[in-house]
Amino acid sequence: MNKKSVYLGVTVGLFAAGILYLAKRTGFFEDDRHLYDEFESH
Amino acid sequence: MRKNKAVLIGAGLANMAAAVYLIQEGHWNGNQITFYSLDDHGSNDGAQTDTVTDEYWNKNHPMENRKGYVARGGRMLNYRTYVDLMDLLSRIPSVTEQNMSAAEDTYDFDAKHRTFDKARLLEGGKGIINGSHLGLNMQDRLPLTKLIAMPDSEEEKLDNVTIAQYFSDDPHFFGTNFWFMWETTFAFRTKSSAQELRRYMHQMIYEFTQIEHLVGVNRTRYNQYESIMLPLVNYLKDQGCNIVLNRLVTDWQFKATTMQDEITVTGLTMKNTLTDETEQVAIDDDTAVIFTNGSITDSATMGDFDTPAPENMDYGAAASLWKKASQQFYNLGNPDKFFADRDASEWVSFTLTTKDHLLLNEITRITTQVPGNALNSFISTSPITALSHKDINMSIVVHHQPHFTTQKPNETVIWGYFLYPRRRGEFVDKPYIEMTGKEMTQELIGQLSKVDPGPGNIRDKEAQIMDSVINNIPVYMPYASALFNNRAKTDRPKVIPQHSTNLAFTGEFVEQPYQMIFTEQSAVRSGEIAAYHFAGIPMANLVKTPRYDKDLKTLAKAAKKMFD
Repeated sequence: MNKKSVYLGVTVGLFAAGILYLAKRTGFFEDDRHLYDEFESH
Repeated sequence: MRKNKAVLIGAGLANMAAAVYLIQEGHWNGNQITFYSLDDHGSNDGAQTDTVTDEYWNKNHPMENRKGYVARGGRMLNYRTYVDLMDLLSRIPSVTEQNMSAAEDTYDFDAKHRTFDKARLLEGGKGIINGSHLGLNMQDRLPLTKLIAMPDSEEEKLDNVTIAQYFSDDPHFFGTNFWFMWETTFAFRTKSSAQELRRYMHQMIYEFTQIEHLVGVNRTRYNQYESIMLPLVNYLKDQGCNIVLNRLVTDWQFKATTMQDEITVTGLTMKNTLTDETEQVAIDDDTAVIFTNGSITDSATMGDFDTPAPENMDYGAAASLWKKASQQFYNLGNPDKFFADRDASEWVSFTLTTKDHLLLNEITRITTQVPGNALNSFISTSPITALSHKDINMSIVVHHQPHFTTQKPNETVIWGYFLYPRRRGEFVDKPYIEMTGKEMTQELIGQLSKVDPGPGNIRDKEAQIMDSVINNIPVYMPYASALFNNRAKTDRPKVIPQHSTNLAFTGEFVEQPYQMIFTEQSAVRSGEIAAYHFAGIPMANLVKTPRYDKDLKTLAKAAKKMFD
C-alpha cells in the first residue's frame, strides 16, 4: 500500500513537472504586459 | 514624449483611430490635429465607381464605363479579437442608424444576420465540400502544433522563413481543406511569412473549430467605408480636425544630430495632386508626426466591363515615403521586403453590380445559403500549384443587400478575388489579371456551373445574367498581400522607434506585440499606441488583448478539431 502511494506520488509529480515544463516552454506563463514599456512616454 | 499638436500622414483607419484617442483619452481639441492624405478612406473603401475613378491611385488609368460600385477589398470582422476596433467604433456615432454608435450599429446588424457559411468550399463534380474534415495527417499536425506552441519570445526563429519553407518537408499540407480555408479566409499565400502564420495561429486559434462555417465572423451593415470610415471622418470633422486631402507627402526633413540616430522630424515636403504644386510644412518641437507607412491598396488600378485593370508599376505612395525615412535611419525597417516582390503580394479583385437578383438567386440556389452569410471558394478540379496540388481558383463574397446605401431596390453587388492573378482561367483561357470584367463574370458563371446541383444549370441562364450586369470592375492591387510578405522581425519599424522624439508609425506595416496584420484590429491598436505615447497616457490603459492561445478550453477544442 505504502509502495503504491510512493509510485502514485512519483507519477503525479512527474506528470505535473512535465506539464509545467511544457507550459514554460510554450510561453504559457509569459507575461506580455512589459512588452509595451518601450512605448511609454517619458 | 508628450506633444500638444499632431500631423498625421495618411487618413486611413490607423491614423483616424489615433486622432479619436488623442481627443477622447488625451483630451486634445480637434484643431490640434491635421491630416495630410491622398484620400480619406484608406484601404477600407467602397463607393459608387464614378466617385473614385479620378483618385490618385487610378488617375493615370482613365475609365470609360463608370457605372456600378467598387470596393477594392474587404475584411471580415471578428469581435473576439478585434477588441480595439470595437472600442474605437463604440466611441463614434453611426452615420446610417440614429442613436447608435458605429459599434452598436454593427452589433445590431450582426445579431440579426449571423454568419453561418454552408458552402465554404466547392469543387467541380463534388459540389459543396464538407470542410469540417480538415484533412490533416500526422505529418501536418506536428509542424502546426509546433507553431502553436512557439512562444512570443522565440518568434525570431521564424525570421525570413516562408510558409512554403516551413512546411517544405510536408507538401501534403498544401492540399488539405485546412489550408484551402485558411489561405482564403485570411489571404495567406505559400510565399507569405511563417512568422505571421504563427501569430494567426495564436490569435485565431479558436477558428480551428469553426472555420468551415465562419461562425466567429462578424460583418458591418454596409460596406466598410460607410460603416467604419465615414463615421470616423464625420466625427473628426465635427471635432474640428483639419483633414487636408489630395496631398502626397514626398520627403522629410530631419534634425541633424551628432550621433545621427535621433529621429526628429522638422519638416515635410508634399505635392498637391490636384495642382501639382509643391508645398512645405514645418514641424515644430511641440508637434508629433504619426505616419501610416504603407497601404495594401496603394497603386491599385481599375478596369471595367470591357477593359482589364492595367498593371501599375508604381511603388506604393506611402511606402515611398517610408523608404526615404529608412534610408536615413537604421531602425526603421525594410520597405522593399513588402513592396518589391509583387509575385508574393499581388491580387486581382472584382466588384460586380447587377440590375436584378437573377445571379444572386442562382448563387443562393447553388450554395444553399442566403446573401450575407458566406465566403465561397472554388477548388480547382485539377492540380494547379507548383507542388502539383489542387488549389482555390477564385473566391466570392455575396454581401447582404444592399451593400451600399445608394443601391437601387433591385440592384445587387458581389465581390470576388483571385489570390493568384497570373493563373489562367478555366472558362476564359487567359490569366485572371488580363481579364475584363465581362470575362471575370463568365469565369464566375463557369465556376458556379461546375458545382451546380441542378436541375438545369446556371449556364442555361448565362445570357440573361450577362444582360443583368450593370458593370464589373476588375481591380489590380499589386500590394494586397504585401503585409504578409516574408519578413524578419526587424523589417517593420516599431510604432514608436527607438530614439524617436516625435515620429510614430501606424498601420499594417509596423511591429507591435502579438498583433496579427490584415485586421482592422492591429491598425487601430497601432494608432492607439501612438496616441497614448504622445498624450502621455500609460500603456496600461490600452484595450486589453485577449489571449485565446493561453485558454486551455480553446486549446483543447483546437487539438480535438485537428484530429477530426
